[in-house]
Amino acid sequence: MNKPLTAEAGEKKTELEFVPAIAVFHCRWCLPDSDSVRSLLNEEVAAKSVVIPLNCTARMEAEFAIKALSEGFDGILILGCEIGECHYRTGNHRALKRLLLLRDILALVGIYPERLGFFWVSPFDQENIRLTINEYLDKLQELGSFK
Amino acid sequence: MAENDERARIEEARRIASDLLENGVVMGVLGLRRVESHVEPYLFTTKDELRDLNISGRYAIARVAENLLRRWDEGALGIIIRGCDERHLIELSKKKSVDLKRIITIGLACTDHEAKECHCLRPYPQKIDVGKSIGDVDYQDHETLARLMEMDISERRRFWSDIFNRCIKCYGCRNSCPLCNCEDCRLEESRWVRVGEIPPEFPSFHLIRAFHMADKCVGCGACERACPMGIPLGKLHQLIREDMKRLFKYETGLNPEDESPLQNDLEKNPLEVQLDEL
Repeated sequence: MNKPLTAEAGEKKTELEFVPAIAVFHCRWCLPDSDSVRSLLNEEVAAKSVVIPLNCTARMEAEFAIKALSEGFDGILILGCEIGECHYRTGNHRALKRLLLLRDILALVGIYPERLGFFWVSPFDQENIRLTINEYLDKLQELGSFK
Repeated sequence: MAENDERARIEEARRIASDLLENGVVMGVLGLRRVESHVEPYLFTTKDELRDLNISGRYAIARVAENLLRRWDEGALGIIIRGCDERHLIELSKKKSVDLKRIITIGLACTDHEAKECHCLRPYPQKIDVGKSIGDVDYQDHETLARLMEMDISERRRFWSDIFNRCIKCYGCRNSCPLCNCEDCRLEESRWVRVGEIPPEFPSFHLIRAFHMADKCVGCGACERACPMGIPLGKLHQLIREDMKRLFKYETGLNPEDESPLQNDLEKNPLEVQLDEL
């Protein structure tokens, strides 16, 4: 929260003014309510972002993420149950594999793989979810706009 | 010398094919024949026809075999195949659209020169009847693949977005691929790809196809040869194949019993990488 004092840090501040637009996909078993997921984002980001519930992260197709980038979103955030906690037993296993592969493919064509964030979270640790999201958003700010 | 080798190769292929035809074990032998300036797939049914046999052309012949077998209720098909054709047939058999028991292959090992041209990493079939295998090729031995890997991420972004911008959306990559054959294609749906717009938006069009092909592509390079705009799709797919090996230790077209790791849970196909390393 410290205000930047040096010129160098001041320059960095201008960069930080970039507000990323993100597409959030969340599992509705660990995070049932899209509005509370939205409330985990900071206000500026939330205003530019969409939050979409899925029945399971296994529903997350690579197309959703790829299309989001084409449509001008700067990042895609996927939140699902911890491995072993999936309501459908192994839905998130499949999602994990697909997303790992997609991340590699993005990197191959020069898209920062960090734009695709996927995190397996526990609904009982909201503080951790908030921290995870903030870390992800910080990274996106650093990367700047996708276009 | 090379010419003699080439002649010996084709004589050998002819001899095996005509033996198959004479013994009556196959309804015909599928291969390529030269017609004026190009080659085309042809079903050889007599010994005499084998005069026109060609084994230096490139053609993804598996789809022709698939259609022939579908048309015949029974009987076996002889087929002259390279390593990539064999992998196509194995992938098609995983989808139950080709019955490998009805196929007798005449395996053709690619020459060093051919392997280089295709940027092939596995330029030989499992059963080799003609020629001598040059063995596996490391992707770093292919200059362009190595160069792509050496680029840093922003160079890569520049390279691929420039190159994808050439795309005229002819769908040649999809149409030439024997394994890219969903009945309803996402690339034709306006929900995923804007209709009537060229070049297609980056990265939708190309990455959707790349992702769909990741656990099917056998690295034959047909898409790249089909592309009228010279987009090096084959190279992209070779690199994605390397990723599949690294992440899941999975390689397409090797064993008809293998299942795609993307279809299975982590118990059946565990990851080959540590998650916290990523």
